[in-house]
Parts: sequence; structure tokens; C-alpha cells
Amino acid sequence: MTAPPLARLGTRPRIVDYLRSMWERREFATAIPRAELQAQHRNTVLGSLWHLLDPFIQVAVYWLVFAKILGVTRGVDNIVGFLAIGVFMWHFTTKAVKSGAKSITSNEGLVRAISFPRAILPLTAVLAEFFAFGFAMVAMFVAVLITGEVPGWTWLLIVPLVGIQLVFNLGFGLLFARVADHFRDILQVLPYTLRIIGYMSGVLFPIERRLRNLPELRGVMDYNPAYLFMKTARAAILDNAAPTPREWGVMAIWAVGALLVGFLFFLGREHEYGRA
Amino acid sequence: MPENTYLPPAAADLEFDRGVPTVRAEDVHVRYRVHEDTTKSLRAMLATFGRGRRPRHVHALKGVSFTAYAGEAIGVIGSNGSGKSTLMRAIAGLLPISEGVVSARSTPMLLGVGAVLNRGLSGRRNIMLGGLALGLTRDGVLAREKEIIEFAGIKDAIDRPMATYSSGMKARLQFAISAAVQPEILIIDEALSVGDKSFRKKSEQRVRQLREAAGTVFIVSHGMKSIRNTCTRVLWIEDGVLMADGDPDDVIARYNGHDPAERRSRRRAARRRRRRKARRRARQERESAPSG
Repeated sequence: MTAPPLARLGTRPRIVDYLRSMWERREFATAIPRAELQAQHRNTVLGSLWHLLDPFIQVAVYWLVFAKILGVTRGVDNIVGFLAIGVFMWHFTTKAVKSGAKSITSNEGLVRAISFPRAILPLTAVLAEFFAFGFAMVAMFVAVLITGEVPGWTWLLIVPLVGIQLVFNLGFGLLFARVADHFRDILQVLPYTLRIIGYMSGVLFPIERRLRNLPELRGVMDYNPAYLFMKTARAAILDNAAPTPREWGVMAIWAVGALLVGFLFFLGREHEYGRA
Repeated sequence: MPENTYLPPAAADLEFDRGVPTVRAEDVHVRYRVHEDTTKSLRAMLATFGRGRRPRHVHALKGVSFTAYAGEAIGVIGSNGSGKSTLMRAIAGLLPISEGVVSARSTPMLLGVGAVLNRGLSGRRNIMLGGLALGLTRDGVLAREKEIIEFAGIKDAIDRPMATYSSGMKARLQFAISAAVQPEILIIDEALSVGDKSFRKKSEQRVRQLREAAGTVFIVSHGMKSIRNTCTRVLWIEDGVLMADGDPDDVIARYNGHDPAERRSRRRAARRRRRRKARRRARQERESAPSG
């Protein structure tokens, strides 16, 4: 073995090298969320089944509260389907961004003890939420079928739509991971901020009608990713309508932009994580 | 000088070249800011809002330089808070340095796998988790699993959750996982003192093996005996400054001469020895008196 020269440690990595080292550590990356998942429901009787049951119970609660008790069906044909799609699609983003944001601070011990590309942590946190979202999808489609929707080819569009949203989530997960490491208070503010964005983007009711008298805000909605994610998914499943090219474009730009900005921003602090 | 932050972890079971430099620290400074938490109540916090948490600058390492070579086991000694662990974390790339350069042939591995292990999972699953964390592949961990379990001396308990382990068992498992990886550069921070006597012997043996395979091992310890047993060289750090670097016996002697507590205890020991000697002489005189 010829002696490789000494290489300087702690320098800013080249992006290609960084991505390669992330790829080399992929087995480790998948082992962390798996271990957490295994340990999480260890002491419950139903164990991992809870991951599947949880979204079903949520849908049942919406059905009970909105369709049966409150009877809110004004202007919405399928309130349960409307809510299930809206809530699960929006939770897909909020849960991913929240656990991405926490990924560095809650793994501080790991960061302080072992060197690995730090972006692995937000990445796996967001991916873990993606797999959990798989269960929510099952519940979502069951709810939609029970309430009498007929499958059409536009249902397949949910795959690219979720893909775009995943990229978007990743970007914001990375972004907030760095912010939270530096400024931990953000973790307290983030849930409420996301909830307000959700309400304002029509997670629980059709926001369009509320904005009928505010045309200038109506224009803003066409660029609001949260609104578009929910709207396009609802249209594809409930109305068998495909998104317009413009909607595809706006969502894709948001997603790619978020990932680029989030990743580069995250990388800027690579060697400082876990320092405090 | 190629600049690559994430050097691949050294492949296992590999003979390293003896005598070549493996880690070099050049004038390494570490400074950081800490927020002193002086506020006591919410009211006090509100009263001093924005002014209560005054940052304080800590200069933890003040220009440390050394070069480590393949085949060396280097003991790192110094009083509590002297900067030993800071230096180790700085050369492992886990702590940003403020000034100076650290370069290495492969990323030095700090024996800190404990942070990854999950209390809720069995010892066996934790071996997988820890092994992957230290850069092994899934197959690599499986291939070493038996050896790790044996080394840790954990038999049936290996399939029980780690939450049920005694602290000695946990520490042994941790050491066994890290030692199985056989990194080119290994840093052991206060780990040789864990476990019982036979395990301590076994781990000292493992350190010697690693060193003989011409890797470089750093050992931070307050146990001068285990340092003497395993190390070929000793660095003495005090208050962020490298005080001495060289032969273990010389450096330890200087360190002992410096440390006030150590000096006190040695003086006490000397006094005890003198007293014992005096008592023995008195007894001998008493015993020899009737006959003589």
C-alpha cells in the first residue's frame, strides 16, 4: 500500500465528493430511521400496525365531526374526500419539514461523536416521513373510494405530484435543520407557522370562495405551493382533472428551488453542527 | 494537498505502513463562545431580556502542534478541563478549529459509538447500527458479529434490549464494536477504564494489536498505569497548551511533578512508607533485643 498523503480535514467539501460520501453511507442512513421505527412502538400491543391505523382514525374523526356532527357540505361534493386529501397532503409537508428541522438538534450526540455527511440526517428524517405518508395514502384512497369516487387515469398523477412535493419537503427540511441548529427557538414557532399557512391555503375549507372578493390575493394563491399541492391532488382524485402546465411549472420551480437553496444553505455550516 | 473532508474510513484488516505520518496538527487553536446561564427565574429573565445571556469566550486550545506516525500508541494526559478531549475531537474533525491545520491520512475515528446505540433495541441490532455508523457495510458487520459478541463477553443477553444491560455490559459492547472496525486512526477517550479487570486486559491487548498493525491509536486517560502499559508516546496538555511530548515515563514523571494533587498524594505515600519503615525497624529492634 502506497502511503496516501495527508489530507486537510474540516475543509468545505466539493459538492460532488459530498454527494458521493452520502451515497457511500447509504446503509447507515437507512439504519437510523429503521432503528427508531422499531423502537418506537415497542411497548404497544399493536406495534407497527399503529402507523397504518393512525391515518384511518384521523379520517374517521373528520367524517364524524364535519360530515355527521357539523354537517358542513356547502359547496363541497365529498367533504370526507376533500378533507382527507387536503389534510394528508399538507401533513406530508409539515411533518417532513418539522422532523427535518429537528434532525440535527435531536441527534446532537451522534453529530458530536461520529463524522459523516451531516445532510444524511435531514434527508433520512424527510424520507422517513415519506414512508409514513405511504400509510396515509392508503387511508386516503380508501376514504375516497368509500365515499363513492370512481377511479380515473388522473389518479396516477398523484405519483409525480407526490414526487414534486417530496423534493420540496427535502429542501425546506434541510433549510430549517440549519436554522434550528443555530436558533433553536424556531422549533417552537414552526408548528404554528405551518398550521397557519395550511389554514390560509385551504386545508380544511375551499379557500377560493373566501377570496372571491379579494382578487389580488387570489392571484397570490396561484404561486402558493401549499395551496397548489392540495388543489392539484384534490382535482386529480375528486374531479378527474389534470393540473395545468402552469401549475406543474410553478410547483416544479418551487421544489427544485427549495432543494437547491436548502442544500447549499445546509452545507455552509457542515463543520459547525453540534458545536454549541 | 488534496482537500477532501470525508475521507473513506480505512478498510479493515489492512496492514498500514509503519513510520509514515498519519495525523498532523499544526498550531491548532480552538476558541468558542459559551452563553453563561445566570438567570434564575422567568421574572429575572424578562428583566434582563437580551442582556442576561452574556457570551464568554473560551480559548480551549492554544496552538498545539504534533505529528503522529503509524505504529504509535499515543497517550494524552492532563488535568480535567485541560483540553484533551477538545484536541481529540478537533483531530477527529468533530469540532471546528479556529486557527491552524489538521491533516490526516484517513478520518480519525473517535470511539464514541455509544451515541448511535438505541436502548430500545437488542444488542445484536445495535451491533449492526454501530458498525454501520463506523463505516462498515451491512455484510461487513455480519461477518464480524460473532467476534464482537465474543469480545464483549455478552452471551444470551445479546438478543435482549440494551436497556436491560448493566453499564459495564454496555461499555464492553461499545468498545467491542469500535475495536472490530480496526480504523487506521483510532481515538479512545476514557474508555479503557471500563469493565472489569479481565476486560481491561483484553482491551489493552486489542489496543496493542491495532498499534502493531501499524495504525495509530490515541488514548485519553487518567489511568497512568494503563497508559504506561499501552502507549509508546505521551502528550501532556495543560490549559490548552502542549506541555510535553515524548517518552511515556519521562512525560508522566513531569506531569506527576506538576500536578499539585498528585504531588500531595505522593508525599502522603512517602510519609506512609517512612512510617511503615520506622515501625518495622522498631519491631525488629524489639524482637532482637531479648536475644541480643
